[in-house]
Amino acid sequence: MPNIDVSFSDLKKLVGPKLPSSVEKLEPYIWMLKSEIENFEGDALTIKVGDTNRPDLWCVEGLARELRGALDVEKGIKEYKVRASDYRIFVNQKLEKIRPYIACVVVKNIKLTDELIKQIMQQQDKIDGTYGRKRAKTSIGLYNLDLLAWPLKYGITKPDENAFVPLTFTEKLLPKQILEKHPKGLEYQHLLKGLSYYPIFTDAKNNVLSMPPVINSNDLGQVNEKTTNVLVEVTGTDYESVNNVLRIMAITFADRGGDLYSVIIDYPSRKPDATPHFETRHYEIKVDDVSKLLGEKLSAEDVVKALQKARYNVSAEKNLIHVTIPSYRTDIMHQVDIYEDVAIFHGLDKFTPESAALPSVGKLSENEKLSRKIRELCIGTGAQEIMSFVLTNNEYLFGNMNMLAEGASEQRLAGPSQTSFGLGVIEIDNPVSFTYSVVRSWLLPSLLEFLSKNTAKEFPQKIFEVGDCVILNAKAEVGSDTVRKLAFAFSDTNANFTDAKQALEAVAGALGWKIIFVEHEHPSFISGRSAAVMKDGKQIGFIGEIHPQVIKNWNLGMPVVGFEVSLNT
Amino acid sequence: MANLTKLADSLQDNEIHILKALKRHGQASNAELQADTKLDQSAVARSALWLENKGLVEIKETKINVAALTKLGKNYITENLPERKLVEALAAGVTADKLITKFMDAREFNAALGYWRQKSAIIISKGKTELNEAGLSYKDKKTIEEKFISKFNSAEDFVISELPPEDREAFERLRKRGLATSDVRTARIFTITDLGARVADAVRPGEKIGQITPAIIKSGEWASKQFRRFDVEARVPEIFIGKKQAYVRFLEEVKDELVALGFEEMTGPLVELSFFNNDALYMPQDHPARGIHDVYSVRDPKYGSLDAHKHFLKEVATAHENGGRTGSTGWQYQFNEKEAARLILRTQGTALSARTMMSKNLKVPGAYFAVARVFRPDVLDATHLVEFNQTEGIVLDENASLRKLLGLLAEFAKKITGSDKVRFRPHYFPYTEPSIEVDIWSPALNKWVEALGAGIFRPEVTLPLGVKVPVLAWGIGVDRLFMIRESIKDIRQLFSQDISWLRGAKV
Repeated sequence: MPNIDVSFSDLKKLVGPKLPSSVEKLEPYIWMLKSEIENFEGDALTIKVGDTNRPDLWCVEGLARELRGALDVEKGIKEYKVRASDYRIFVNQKLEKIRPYIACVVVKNIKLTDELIKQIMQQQDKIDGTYGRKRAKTSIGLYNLDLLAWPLKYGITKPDENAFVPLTFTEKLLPKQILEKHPKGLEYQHLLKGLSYYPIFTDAKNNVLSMPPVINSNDLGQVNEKTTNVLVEVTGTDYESVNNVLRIMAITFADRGGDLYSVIIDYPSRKPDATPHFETRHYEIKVDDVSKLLGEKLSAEDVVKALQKARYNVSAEKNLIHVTIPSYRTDIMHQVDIYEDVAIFHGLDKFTPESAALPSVGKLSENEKLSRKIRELCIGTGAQEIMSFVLTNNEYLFGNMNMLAEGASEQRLAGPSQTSFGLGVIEIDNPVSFTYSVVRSWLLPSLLEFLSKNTAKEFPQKIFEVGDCVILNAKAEVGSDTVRKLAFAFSDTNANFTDAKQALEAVAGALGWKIIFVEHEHPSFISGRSAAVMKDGKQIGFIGEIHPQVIKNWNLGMPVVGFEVSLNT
Repeated sequence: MANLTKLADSLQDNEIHILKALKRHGQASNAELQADTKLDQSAVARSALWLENKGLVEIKETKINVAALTKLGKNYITENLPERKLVEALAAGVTADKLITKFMDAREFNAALGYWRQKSAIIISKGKTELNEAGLSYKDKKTIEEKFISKFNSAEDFVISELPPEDREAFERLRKRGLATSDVRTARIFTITDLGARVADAVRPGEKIGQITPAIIKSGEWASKQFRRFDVEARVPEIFIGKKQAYVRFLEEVKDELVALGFEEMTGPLVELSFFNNDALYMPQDHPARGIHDVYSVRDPKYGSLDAHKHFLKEVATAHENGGRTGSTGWQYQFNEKEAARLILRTQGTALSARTMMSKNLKVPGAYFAVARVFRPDVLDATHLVEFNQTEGIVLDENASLRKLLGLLAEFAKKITGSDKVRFRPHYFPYTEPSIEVDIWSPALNKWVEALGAGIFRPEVTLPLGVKVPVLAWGIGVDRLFMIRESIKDIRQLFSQDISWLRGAKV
C-alpha cells in the first residue's frame, strides 16, 4: 500500500477551495478513495492509498482528480487533448525477447517547480516499485526534449559498447560497468542477468538517453526547473501495463498545464502505434443488479449521480445504465467494480446495516472438540497450557534433542513410525532467520525450549501444548500432513517416569483410549526409561525421562519427563 | 480475656513450652531455652519466631563469642589427640622412638609428652618412657579436651561465657595448643512481653489437637480435647494451578461466539498449494504479495499435486487469463500451472475458504469460519510475528448483500469486541468487491481501531469454484483485539514463554 506524501496547499490548488482542511472533515473524502490519512502536520500530508490496483491514485494529481469528483467540483470523465506529431521512435526486433514495449509522450510548455519535480519523482518511484514490479514489468524515464535529435531508437547494445555517463556520475561507463559500479546498476542488474545484449535508448546522433530499465544518461536523461519540454518514456514487458503507466504520467503533466503531443512507436512487426492512448471502455449495468448486491433499492438517478462523482461518463435508459470507463481505470474488470463505486460515491453511510440470523447452524470441527477435551484433562493434571511457534529450526528439533548424535540419526531414519521421530521435516526455502527456518515435526522441543526460558522461576513446572506439527508425506497433495499433537512435560527435583506415565494414563483413560506402553529406545530419553505409546496396534507417540545430555543442551538444571502423542491417528 | 484465650489456644506445643520457660526466666538465650525445654536449637528458633510474630516474645540480637576448632583442631574430631595416641601406644608396649616414625610426627609427640608430664602420668628414665599408675588410669578415661572436642560433632554453638567450668578449661588449653579459637556470632536473646506473660497464664492445661487425622476422628478423642486455633489470616505458600494459555482461551471464546452465530469451523493444512492460498482467490501470479519476501516456500518438495483439482485449476486459470465464464476481463496474462502447484506455508486463512467452496460437502446457504495459523516472512519484534492466528470466514447466501454484510460486521463488533460504536470505510482487498474495513471505538485507547476487514467475493473467485451465490467474506484482527483487552504492548507476548505471566494471567 503506497504512502503518498503531498503538500496540502498543492493539493488544495489542484482540487479547489472546497477541500476541507481539518483531518475530521477531510478524512471521509480520503476514505472514498480507499485511502487513509497517515499523517497531517502543517502543510505535510501523507496519504496511504489502500488500492494496489489504482496506480492513477499514487500521485497528488490523481488524488486531486478523484477528490474533485467526490467534492462535486467536477463530474464525469475529464477529457485530455493529445496533439498529433511527427515524433517517431524505431524499435529493434531483438528486444522482442527482452523488453519489447515502449510508449512515449511529449509534454510541452510545462512549468517544472521544485514541488512538481518532487511529486513526479515520487510517482515514478511508486509506480516503478509496485505496479512495475520493481521495474521488471514497467519503468519510467524522463528526458529534456530540447536536447534530443529525432527520430529516436529503442534498440540494443552489447555490454561493452555504447559507453555513456550514467546519472549522478561524471565519467563514461560501459553498460556492463554500470551494472557492476553504479548503485542503480547493482540494484537492477538481475533484470539483465545472462543477456548477451541490453536495451538502449538513443537519439538520431547516437547519443544515449538511457539503458532501460536501469539508468538514464546524465546528459540527456534528467529534467530540472529550467526544463520546459519533456519526453516521457515507459518501457516494459507487458503492452497494456506500459501504455497504462504512460497515460497516467501523461495526464499528470496535463493536469499541471502541459500540452501533450503523441509519439509514433515504429515496431518492426506491428502496426505503428501513436502513444499515449486514451481509449475508453463501456459497460452496461442494471439498476436492479446493483440494488440486489448492495441490498438497497436504488433509483437510476442515484446510480447515475454516484458514478458521475466517481468520474465515469454515464447515461441512463430506465433500468439500464451505460457507463463509460476512463482509460486509466484499468482496475475495472467486472461490473462488480462499478457496483462498488456506486456504494462508495452514493455514500457508504447511507447503507444501514441489516441484521439477519445466519441461515445455518454453527459447529466446531472434530479436531477442535477433541483438542478441547484433551486440554481440559491436561489442565486437570495441574499442567499449565502453553502456545508456541510452529516455526523452529533443526538445532532445536534434532540437535538439542540428541537426534543428530552418532547413530541417532540412523535410528531416526529407521524409526518405527513417522510420528515417533521428526522424520522428514519441512524446511523453508527462503527463511528470514535460522531460528525460524523449519516447520516443527514434533512438539517436545517446543516444551523444552519453553522450560529453558524459565529455569529461574518456581518449580515444579508442569506444562503442555496441543498444537499442529507438519510431517513430510510425498503422497499427499501438499507434500505433507498437518498433524495435531499433544505434548506434556514435567520438571522438578524428583520428576520421574511414573509422573509422566500417570498423567498420560489419566488423560488417555478419560478419553476411553486403550493405550499400552512398549519398551522403546529414543535418543532424547534415558536408555531403559522410555516407551512407545501404542493405540489400536499403532504407535501414536512416546514417553520417558529426558536424557541428561538433552537437559544440558537446553541449559536446564532440573530433571524433565514427558510424553508426546498424535491426536488424529 | 477472650483475646488472651484465643491467642493461647492458637499456640503450638513447642510455643507453649518456650513461652512458659520464658515466663520463668524473663529472658533467655537459645541454649538456655534448649536446656529448659529439651527442644533442639532450630525448634527453639522457629517457635520463638512464631511467638515474636504474635507479639508474645521480643527477640534481640547481640554479638557473642563462641568456641570453635581451628583447622588443625578439626582433625581431632575424627582422629585421636596426640596424648591419646601416646597412651595407647605405650600401653601396648611400643617404644617411644618407634612411636614418632610410626604414629605421629615429632611435634605431636612433644605435645603429647608435655601433656602427660604435666599430669605426672609418665616416667621417663634411662631413655625409656613408661606410663605410671595415674597414666594407666587414662587408658579407659577420656580427658576433658577429648570430651570437649567430641561435642563439635553437632552444629551447636558453644558460647564461651556459658561453658561449664570443665569445658571452659578444656577450651583454654586447646586454644593455647592452637587447636581451638573463638568466633564472633550473632546470638538472639528472647524476652517475654507483657502480653506474652498474660498469655502464658491463659494457656489451658491439656494437649491440643493440631492436624486432625483419621485416627482422631475414629477414636472420638476430638470430643474431649481442644483444637489448636490456627492463624487463618497468615500467609500460606503459593501453589500454581493448571490453566489455559490466556490467548488460547480468548480464541476459544471467539470460536464459541462464531458457532453461536451459526458458523461451522473449517480446518486445513499448514503447508498449502499456492493454488488455494492465491490463485483460487484471484491473486494474479505476479502479485507482489506472492513474492519471495511475503511468502515462505517449501524447500523440498517444491511442488505439490493439483491432480485432484484439474477441473477447478482450468476454471481458475481462464478466469485469470481472460475472465473465462465470469464476465470479467481477467488479469490478461498467461497463467502458469506450475506456479499454482508451488508449496508454501499458508499466508492467509482465506485459503481455507477457497478449499471449503471447492468441497463436495459445501452447504448453500452456509456459513463457515476458521482460526488459522498463518505465516509471513518477517523479523520478529514487538509489532511483527512470523506466524500468527487469523480469524476468517464466509457466508454463502442467495440473498447476501452489502447491507447484510454491514449487519454481520456490526454483530461481530458487538459480540467479539464488545463495542457498539463502529464505523465502516471503503477499502481494497484483491478478492472482494465491494470491500469494507471496520473500525471499532476503543474506550481503553480512546481512539478508533481497525478491527475487521470484509467484502463480497468477486465473481472471479466464486464462479470458477462453482459457487453461484454471493459470498460474504470477513476477517477479524483477533491478535489486536486481545492485545487491547489485556493491555499487551508486545505482540510476542501472545506466544509468551514466561511461565510467571501465564500463571498470573487473569481468566
